[in-house]
Amino acid sequence: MSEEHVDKKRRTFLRWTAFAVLVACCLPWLKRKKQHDTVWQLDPEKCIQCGRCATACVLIPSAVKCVHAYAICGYCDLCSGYYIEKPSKLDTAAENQLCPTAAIKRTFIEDPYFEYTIIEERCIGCAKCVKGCDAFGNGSLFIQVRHDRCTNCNSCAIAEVCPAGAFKRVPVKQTYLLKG
Amino acid sequence: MTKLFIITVLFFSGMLLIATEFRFPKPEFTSGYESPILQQPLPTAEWMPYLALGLLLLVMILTGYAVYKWRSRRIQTVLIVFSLAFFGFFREGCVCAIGSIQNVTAALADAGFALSLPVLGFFVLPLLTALFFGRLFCGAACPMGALQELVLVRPLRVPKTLDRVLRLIPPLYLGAAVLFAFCGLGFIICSWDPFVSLFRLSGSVFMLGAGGFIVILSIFIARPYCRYICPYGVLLKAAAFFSARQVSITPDECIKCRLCEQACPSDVIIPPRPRKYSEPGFAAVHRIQWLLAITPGIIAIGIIAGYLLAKPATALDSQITLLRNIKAGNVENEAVSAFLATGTPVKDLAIRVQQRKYKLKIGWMLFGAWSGLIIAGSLIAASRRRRNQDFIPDRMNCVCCSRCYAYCPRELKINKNGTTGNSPEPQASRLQPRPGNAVGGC
Repeated sequence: MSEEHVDKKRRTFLRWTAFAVLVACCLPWLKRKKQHDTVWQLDPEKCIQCGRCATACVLIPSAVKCVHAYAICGYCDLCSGYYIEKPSKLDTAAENQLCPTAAIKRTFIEDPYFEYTIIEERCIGCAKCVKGCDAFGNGSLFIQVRHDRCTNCNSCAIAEVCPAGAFKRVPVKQTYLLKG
Repeated sequence: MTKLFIITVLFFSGMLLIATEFRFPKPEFTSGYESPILQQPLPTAEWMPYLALGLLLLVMILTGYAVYKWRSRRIQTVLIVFSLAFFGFFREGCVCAIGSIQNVTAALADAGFALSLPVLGFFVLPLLTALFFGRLFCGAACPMGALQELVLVRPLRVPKTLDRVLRLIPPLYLGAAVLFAFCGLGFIICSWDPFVSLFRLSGSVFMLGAGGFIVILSIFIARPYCRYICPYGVLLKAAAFFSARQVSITPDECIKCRLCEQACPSDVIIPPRPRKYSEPGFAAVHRIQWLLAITPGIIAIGIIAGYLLAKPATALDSQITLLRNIKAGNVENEAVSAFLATGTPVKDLAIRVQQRKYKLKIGWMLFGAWSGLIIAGSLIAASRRRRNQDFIPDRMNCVCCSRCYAYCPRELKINKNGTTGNSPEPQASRLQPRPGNAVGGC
């Protein structure tokens, strides 16, 4: 047998061995329980509203936005998520608002209750309102990764810098970690 | 009686809980107002990764045909443009085969890590293809490779020694990426990927700059990322070593005209062995014996280096840093205050940190051993003598760009007779043939 022929035969043997090894390595995957697709989400219970969600995301503005759990909202007139600490007047004037982009809409419902709605196009996910609501209110405002925007990076840029370790991968079937 | 008592207690404590949780209970509206429902938009297209996986397979099959059957660089260029547009700019780079190494590693390290089918597919399919047909993935399906391939206009040669040294980087990078993913220190390939910020047209100034630099560099040096950085290339190289098919420069026989020697921008065409080597055979054998003998020593040095490196490298671990900050009483630190707010006992964290430290130490020592093995292996590989009779591409490093076909006079002759594909006329190459590689007798 020529040298070349031996080389070829050896290669064929090694190739099929490598093939078998690769396929065999994939087999345990079939048995795994967790093989579902996942997306990034943040746990609002762990979130400390540091504001990195607004700056670290690869998207501008961030894929993280504020959401409102109406079920646990107190509909306060003096909303600590909407107003700065000592507002001069309880109106919709910009100088009294906490939100840097005026992304919260205040609507009169009935005396003395007001509804607060997030205008998602404006929200940058800075969590200033979340901090305010958490401090003095019910905590009905919180931030979430909005999946109509999230590009589902393999390594989430926000998760890398989140000091509270609030980011994790969740199954696609249970995309949001909600409050209330 | 006791049951009733317990129920009462539970009821009141429940009331208390609600009272403490909500300072302002939801009002009962008289105007018939109903609160809106929270919108929960789903990921735009869950099936998209599966489509990407299918297209990856299709692109690799077509590349196989373009490289081996049609021998057409033109068709391959179309595929390259498609890959860049779809996998790069449309899919914005994620998930890619290069990054999937880390997902697979993390899934091996942690049984709770969910590894989805597309990710596994992106990891395995290019490797299986390489096992049988060479690095077709690099040839056209990889968006990073595609970007570098398209901008290459004036290839320059990298000096052989520098090339050898730089080629050490990918296996070391692979080792580091596996170490980081295995120890849960993050996905460094993804965080330091220079192309993904270009594909997304966003990202930090540094990463955009790095991406721009590599793109500009690849105008002059063929595929700098693929050759000197890409960690997935190491796995593909290993798989391509066994490949059944490899690029054959000539369609029939090699007339040793040396024209192709200057065609390969990646400089991986191996000239035939010379009739006579400058040094006697036994000297080369001795050198390899020596290298084999000192290999354990090099690996041992690597292990020691890894052991020494493990301690300062704990600063990279968030949990170890956290514990350190807690012990230092660094309360202003956000991570510390966040941890203390959760009410988890510091003891639990300390136990976890102890386990992690142990894992990291072992990991760094293994990484050191791997580095030593790589360095020793590359020294031995450099001392091996080639055995080929014709000009052939190095099957491990050839990325199947099919540029060399158009330079082979046999190919041109057959083309004129109209029997094979439509390779373009060769352009005058600006590369100079390497001086020291003259074929014996020429």
